[in-house]
Amino acid sequence: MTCRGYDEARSCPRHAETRFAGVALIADEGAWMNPSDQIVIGTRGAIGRADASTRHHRVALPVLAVCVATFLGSQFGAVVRFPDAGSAILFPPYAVLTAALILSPPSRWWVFLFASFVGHMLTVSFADSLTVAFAASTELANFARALSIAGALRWLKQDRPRFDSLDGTAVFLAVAGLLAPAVGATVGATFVVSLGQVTPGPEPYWRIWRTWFLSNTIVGVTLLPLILAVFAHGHTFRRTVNGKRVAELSLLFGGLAAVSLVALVGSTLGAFDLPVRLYAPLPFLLWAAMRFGPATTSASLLIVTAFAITGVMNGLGPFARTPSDDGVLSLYLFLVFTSVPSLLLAALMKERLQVLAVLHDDIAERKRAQDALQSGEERMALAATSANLGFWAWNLRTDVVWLSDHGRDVFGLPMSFDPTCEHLIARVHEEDRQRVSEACADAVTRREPCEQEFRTVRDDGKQRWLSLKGRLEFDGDGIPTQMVGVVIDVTERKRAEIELQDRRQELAHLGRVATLGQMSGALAHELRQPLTAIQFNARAAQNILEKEEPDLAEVRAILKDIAHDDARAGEVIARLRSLLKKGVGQPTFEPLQLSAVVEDGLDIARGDVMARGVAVTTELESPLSPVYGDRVELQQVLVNLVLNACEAMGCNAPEDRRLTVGTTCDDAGFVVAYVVDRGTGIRPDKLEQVFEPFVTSKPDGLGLGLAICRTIVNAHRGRLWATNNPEGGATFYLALPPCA
Amino acid sequence: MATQSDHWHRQPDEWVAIVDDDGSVRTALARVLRAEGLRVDTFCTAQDYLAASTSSNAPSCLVLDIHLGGASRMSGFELHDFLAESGVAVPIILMTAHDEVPSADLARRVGSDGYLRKPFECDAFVNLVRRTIRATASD
Repeated sequence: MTCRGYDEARSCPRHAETRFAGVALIADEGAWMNPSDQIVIGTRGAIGRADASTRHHRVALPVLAVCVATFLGSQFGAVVRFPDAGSAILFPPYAVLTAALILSPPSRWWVFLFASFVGHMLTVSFADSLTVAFAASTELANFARALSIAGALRWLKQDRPRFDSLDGTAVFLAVAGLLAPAVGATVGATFVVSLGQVTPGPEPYWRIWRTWFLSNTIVGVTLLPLILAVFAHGHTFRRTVNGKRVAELSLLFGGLAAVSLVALVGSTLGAFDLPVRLYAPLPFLLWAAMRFGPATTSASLLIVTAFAITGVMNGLGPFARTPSDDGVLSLYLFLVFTSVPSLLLAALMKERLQVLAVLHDDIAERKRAQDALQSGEERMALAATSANLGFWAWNLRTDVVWLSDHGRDVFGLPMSFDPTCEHLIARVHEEDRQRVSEACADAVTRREPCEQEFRTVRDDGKQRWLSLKGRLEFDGDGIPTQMVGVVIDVTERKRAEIELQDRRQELAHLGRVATLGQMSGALAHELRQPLTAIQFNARAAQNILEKEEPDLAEVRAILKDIAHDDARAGEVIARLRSLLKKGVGQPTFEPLQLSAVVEDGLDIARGDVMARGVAVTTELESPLSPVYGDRVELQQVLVNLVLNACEAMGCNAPEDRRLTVGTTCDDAGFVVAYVVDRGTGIRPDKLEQVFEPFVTSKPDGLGLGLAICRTIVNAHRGRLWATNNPEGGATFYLALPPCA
Repeated sequence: MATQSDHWHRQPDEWVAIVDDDGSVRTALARVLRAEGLRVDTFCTAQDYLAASTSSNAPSCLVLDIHLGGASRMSGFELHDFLAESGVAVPIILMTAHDEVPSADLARRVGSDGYLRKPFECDAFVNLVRRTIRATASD
């Protein structure tokens, strides 16, 4: 992956960064095929962060380098000259200055221009043939070239030349190989002609222009890209190129040098001399372009150029002509026509390789995602099966229900059968079927999630409890398309719940039996009174009727009283029966008014309360929010609390045996019943202990009454607790959540 | 209060007073005794009875329930003890519907034949009342 810009590259830890006169050169380390040819050049330096000495150091070195390189390049240019015209065949200062400008911000260009000028002027003192005016004019042409190329690249937003893209390379070649040489040739030819330093011959201006242009083009397409590449990635070259690559590169350069020596400098090769000589370097250039990239290609071109120039200057090789200048020009054309396609091919290859690298990354990424998905699915399936979880999706358009394998297993469906919703509903226990069917339909109509617990009947007649959860999915128009969800077999949990509920109900029942035992005396009294009255009334009626003139009006009154007493006895028995009701295995919860439950409880306990001479005051609020509970069990709790309260006041003076029973609603919205006695109260450290089993203050008690009461209240998701009253005695509270 | 004195004037020597807080029982007992030709008055509370009777005008037999309802009310035992302490010689039959009341408490006050546990036989009750009245008369 290559960072596209300087800022991006800076934030990317995979990139190395080199600074050059405030210019950041970033080279990609992670190139897929040949990292050494990945060139990304940034020009937004972060020089301001460096301290002054470092900054000066960093500026001075490149300036000096440019100065020296220009001096040496000029020396080289003075030596490598056209045999006849005398102008430089290859003028390296052009590449040096241009590279410096491209690699530095415009604000520092003047420094490098000055350095280049100084370097060039130093040449004059070493070369007798050069005049200051000529040197100055060629340097001005050099400025024009370098400024036009750096300026044009910036104007074209290509200030970071990219040799790894065809477009970037084409733009660079157009500017560095066409525009800048033209500008330089125009300026240079004008100066040379006006200074009168022209060799004899026709059309001096255009002759000079042509040689300058082609000379600069060769430098622009060979030396300049190479310098840029060296500065861009030179420091990473050693790290990123392995021995195998170095060997290949050596082979390439060695082979190319050998071939070039033979083809471009050697003596004649016989009948096929020219084509062989011209095409001999081509395989190596293709090798460089295909296997290495633009920088190596530039370097290869430079090798070819060097040998070609050596040949032509010595009158050897395919470009040896008379006059010699024509040979140089044909050499130029050969180099241009060789260089441009080679560089473009190298760029194209690099671009393709990068696309391939991206594709490779994409494919690898997709493969990883796919692997992760697949292993995720497998893990999910494993986890789902372990958790006894089945998946389902109900297509609302086709009514077909897709089920995972475990989902089918849970419903007891064969693997080959694609059920509809109706098929599944048909497998639901008949007592639950309508509820489930309505719940599913409601969920779709109301667009709400669905959650149900129900029984299914398998083909072998066995019942299973299932818990089903689902939610709707909608299309783009907001129309529900399917309901998806999970189903879990909760038979074991349900069985345990039912068993627990049965145990609790049995315990509660035993508690009631115990309470009845405790109340038996009072209940017997309540029965004996009407029975006695009935017996005596019947005897009285018999006696009256035995008289000669029976008082029939009195008999009617007696019969009415008998009926009344019979009803009284019936009520007592009914209360007895309700408390003895077992109710195990049956859902007995219903919405209740707690005040009504309290009144019932007081009725049941009335005989005992009266027998103990306790006066009861009621403070029942009505209506209160209904609570959801078992009427008999809640009555049982109330009776227990009332009887305990009466017992607590057993030692009180008769006028102090007062009981207050009431209902209200607390701040949290709970419905509360309270029983206030005037007994001796409870020791503070025993306030919680009294609800534990076998904790009792009575000599003949088992201590299970309040423990059972708390079990009952907990099953109602309520609270049962006791406090001591400031004025004496205790208050027991029963708080129940209101119906949802 | 619920006081019936429709036969008050007829036979002062065979006057029976019934004190029971249960209206049904009170009325039923009274009906049977009246059918036997006795003069009967019924009272709901001990206080009502005390208000209606005097030392010179005591019943031949007082049928008294022990539990007279209400914490602030005088119980049958208390009325019995009060009369005994006051020196009023009234033959008393004690009644109770509660098993918990010890027979010893009953017997200590009225003798082993002088109390009844509800529900009791009609004949047994009538016979006990008659026996008590006769005993009073013979005194």
